[in-house]
Amino acid sequence: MLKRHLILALTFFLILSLFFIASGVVLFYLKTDFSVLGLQKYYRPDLFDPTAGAKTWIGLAKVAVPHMFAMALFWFVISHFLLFAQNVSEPTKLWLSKMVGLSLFFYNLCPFLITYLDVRWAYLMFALGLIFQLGLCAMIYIVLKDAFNSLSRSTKRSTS
Amino acid sequence: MRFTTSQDLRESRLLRHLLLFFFVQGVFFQALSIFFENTRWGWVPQEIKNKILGNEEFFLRPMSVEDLVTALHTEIFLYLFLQTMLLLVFLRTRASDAQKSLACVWVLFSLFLNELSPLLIRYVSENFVFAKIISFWALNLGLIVLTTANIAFLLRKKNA
Repeated sequence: MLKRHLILALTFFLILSLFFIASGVVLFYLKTDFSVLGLQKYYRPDLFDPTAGAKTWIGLAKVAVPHMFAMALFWFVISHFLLFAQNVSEPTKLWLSKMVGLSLFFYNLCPFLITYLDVRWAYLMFALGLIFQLGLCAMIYIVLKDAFNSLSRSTKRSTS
Repeated sequence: MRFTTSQDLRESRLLRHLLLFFFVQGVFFQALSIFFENTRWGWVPQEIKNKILGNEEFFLRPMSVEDLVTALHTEIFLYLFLQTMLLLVFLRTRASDAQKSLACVWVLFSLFLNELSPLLIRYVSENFVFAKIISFWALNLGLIVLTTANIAFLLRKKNA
């Protein structure tokens, strides 16, 4: 019975995680219109409007620091649930987890690169954002699928 | 995350102390969160409506969708991790299966409604202000009960 409750708690955690990811996507859309140009305008407003001030280092760090912590924690928790998933091979889990981890690291670095090096880093940031969100959704799908499979297996076992 | 697989959490003295310390800090987080709810949204229906929908009489502007989603994005992250930790330990206590199921469903729905209701107030109907108040107190009541049950369980001797 403990296993069933754990699966229930895990499922709820993952559903709310999807809600959390969706809110992040909405915020990204509101700030950038889902476009590379929008990202460039957001981080380098001074290039498009001479009266607008550029982002400061402190301003960028204030956003990047909590995101580095929160995204890394979120990635760690979601990917550690992959340990329990039996329907996917170990290399796939490792590959997926590494890809999402690396994408989140460089995603948080990109605002600094866009602001201080070149606005073309916005292409990389856009791609990394997509990889991060899709990777997380893939991990959540894998864990949820495995949770439901093991739930149905345990239900069958208890009825037989 | 060892607590997700350990049979009895009280076996390891270190784990027991870590969890106790975490839950005590959780109590402080919750107390401050209840206090800040007043400044963030307000405690009574009119205050919440003024904050979210604005009020010309008091020269208050309605909150933008970006402000609403930003508030939701931060809150859901904090509550999600706290409630998952509390649930995972609560599932190891001697509570009945019905109580465990109820706890999972209670905190999921109250958190989901608490985070969604500001958007519903702004874009659907101002009557959702009651959903916001009820879900906020339901969530906090649920978390207080879970915290108390978990602390009592961890303080009790294994064979008691």
